Amino acid sequence: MIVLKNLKIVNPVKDFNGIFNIAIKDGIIIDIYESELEKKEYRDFQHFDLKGKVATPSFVDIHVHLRDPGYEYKEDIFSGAEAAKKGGFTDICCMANTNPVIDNEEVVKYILKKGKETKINIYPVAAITKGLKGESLTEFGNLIEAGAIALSDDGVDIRNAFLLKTAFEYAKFFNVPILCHCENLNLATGFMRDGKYSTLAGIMGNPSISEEINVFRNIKIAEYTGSKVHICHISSKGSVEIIRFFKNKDVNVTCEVTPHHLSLTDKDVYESDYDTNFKMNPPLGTEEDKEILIESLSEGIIDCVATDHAPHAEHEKLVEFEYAPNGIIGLETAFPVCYQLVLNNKITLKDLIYRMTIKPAKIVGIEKGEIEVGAKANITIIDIELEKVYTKDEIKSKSKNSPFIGRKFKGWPIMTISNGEIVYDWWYKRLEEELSK
Amino acid sequence: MKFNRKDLVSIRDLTKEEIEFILEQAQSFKEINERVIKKVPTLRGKTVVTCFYEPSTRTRLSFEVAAKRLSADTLNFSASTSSVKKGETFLDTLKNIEALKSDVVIIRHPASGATKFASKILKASVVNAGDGINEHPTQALLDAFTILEKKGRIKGLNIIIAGDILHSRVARSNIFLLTKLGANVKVYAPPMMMPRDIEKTGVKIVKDFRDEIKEADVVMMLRVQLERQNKALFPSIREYAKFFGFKKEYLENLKNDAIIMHPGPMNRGVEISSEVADSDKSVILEQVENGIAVRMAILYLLIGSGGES
Repeated sequence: MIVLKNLKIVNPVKDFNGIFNIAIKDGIIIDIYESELEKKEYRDFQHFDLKGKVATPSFVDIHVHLRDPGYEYKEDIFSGAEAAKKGGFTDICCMANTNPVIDNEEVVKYILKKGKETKINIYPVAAITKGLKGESLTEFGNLIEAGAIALSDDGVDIRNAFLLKTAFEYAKFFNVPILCHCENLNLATGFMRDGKYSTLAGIMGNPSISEEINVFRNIKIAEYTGSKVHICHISSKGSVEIIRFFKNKDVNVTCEVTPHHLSLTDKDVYESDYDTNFKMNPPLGTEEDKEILIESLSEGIIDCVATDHAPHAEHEKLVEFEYAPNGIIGLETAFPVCYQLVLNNKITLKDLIYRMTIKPAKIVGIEKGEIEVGAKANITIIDIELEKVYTKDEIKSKSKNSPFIGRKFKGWPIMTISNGEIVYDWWYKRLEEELSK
Repeated sequence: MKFNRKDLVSIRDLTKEEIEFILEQAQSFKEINERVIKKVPTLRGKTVVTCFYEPSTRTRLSFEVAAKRLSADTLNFSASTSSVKKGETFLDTLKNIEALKSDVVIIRHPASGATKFASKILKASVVNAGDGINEHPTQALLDAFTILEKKGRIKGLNIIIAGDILHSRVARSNIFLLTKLGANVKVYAPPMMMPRDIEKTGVKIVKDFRDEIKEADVVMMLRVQLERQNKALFPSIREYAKFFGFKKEYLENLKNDAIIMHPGPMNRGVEISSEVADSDKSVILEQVENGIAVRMAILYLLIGSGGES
């Protein structure tokens, strides 16, 4: 039983003009009322004064690598969940490239069971092919019955187009989306985006067409079979054009973009002097790509933001650039990184929140409401004035592979409420610490 | 002029003045190589380690001779790429080398950026002896030294670099160096061996090699790695030689005072015909000789008192 006081509410759809208090009981928002009002019935509730802060529906991330089971030295479900809570997320989908792979019901159940203890919602994404080998299909029906929310071989694309077509057809029967990692492996032989900066850095480049032609192929197959398709982490202007083309034809396609593709470019890779925290797949695009991705997110051609949170241990990243594994962590910095776009008037806060909450939830079929009376109390509190440097010490994830360490951002989640319970509280903890000094 | 760098890992990092300073210093070291007793005590008590993750003959020998003529102690470390990937990490190997209290670590490595990585880790000076497809700065410096010796200047010269530019660290370092010093650099390659957006590095692309060498003061041929044939990068050696090699008939197109260079090892009859390699315009062996002086200068500037001259 808590009352969150003096908040500005930013919902994706329903507007609240003014400053409000939100009363929560038994995991449900029972009342939203103007902050001047003193309501006696909530006298016994615990009150939190959050003057000047913003309340939004809690964030949803449909693309996370939790590394559990199998790579717990990089991350596990608990540490990943802590990182999620710190970033304002209460609903995260974890990808199948664990060891063992999420290609059987036992692994799905293991993740769900462990996930329950985290107090946020963890949704396993099951593999499309056994062992992610691209050879034979997993048991979609059994995996979904066990609790898998979607299907993906994220990390690799399925080379065999016939197999992918079969997967789309079968997924349609169970009404689940396939999340496509689009990459032509014959073309993707480099380590950063092919172009001026790969030439200058002397690093073999990946041409943007390695992503684009498979974006086209995969959507075309889904169009043919009439299935739902979601394109993961798009990174180029060309991919946006292809998705726009299919959306104009009313094909059932959605797509996501990562915060790092919205904020960093191949120039940053070059200037980092082979810092492997700038190595990810797909690689960072050009300035033009970045601008188009931002515009398309605002416009809605890109449906949502997803982090592709990919933890790797320090010793794995402290190697030669070419040999380093791809990926960076992203849950804790997703909002601050994207909020810079709001500050630069590239997207409205309301739209950004929509694309970090309700829209991604809808893609995979997570029930997700706005902040309103009767809804589940899943809320993120943001201090949009708070300006601070992201430090290595504060990272909750087991891995520290972030290109944003040492960078200053304005606008941070400070409190996360999941099912009516405060699961992350930086704000009050800090106030208490200051009082005790 | 002061040379304050700990490392020499890329031409890209150097200023025009620093490059000119190194070339100037190399001049005085060349004289030592012509003496009967080719040894000076400059680096006595210093330890130079060559750390090669890729096979090499001339670069390694050249560095070793350079270090020995300066009286440094030399150690050699070799590792195959596979053992690096499977066993000890590069980082751990570097820390081990650090523990030997070496003063300079000369590294050749198949991964681009590996020497930069090493330079950030090691307290010792790092010299890049070639990293992946990225840079081979001492080769570019010895090439520039040779050009200066032959032509008296670099600024304003027309220089053509021809061959597999995409995979060539020699080409990259030379492009950066020669454009910094004001040469007009053109590149020629089969299109699949040309890096994307190469013009943005300040060079032009040669369309007709046979014709455009008429204007050239320097023609630098690059080694084509024959194994790339298997990776579907070019169809055959004979076709490569026909369309992209420097053939003897082309010699008549060259200016009288033009020079022909090659970083070696050569594939005679592929990128360069024997007649061209052995012609009086060829300075290929002088490049090798100059390599010693240039590398002596670099070692001296990094760990001798050269940095404070």
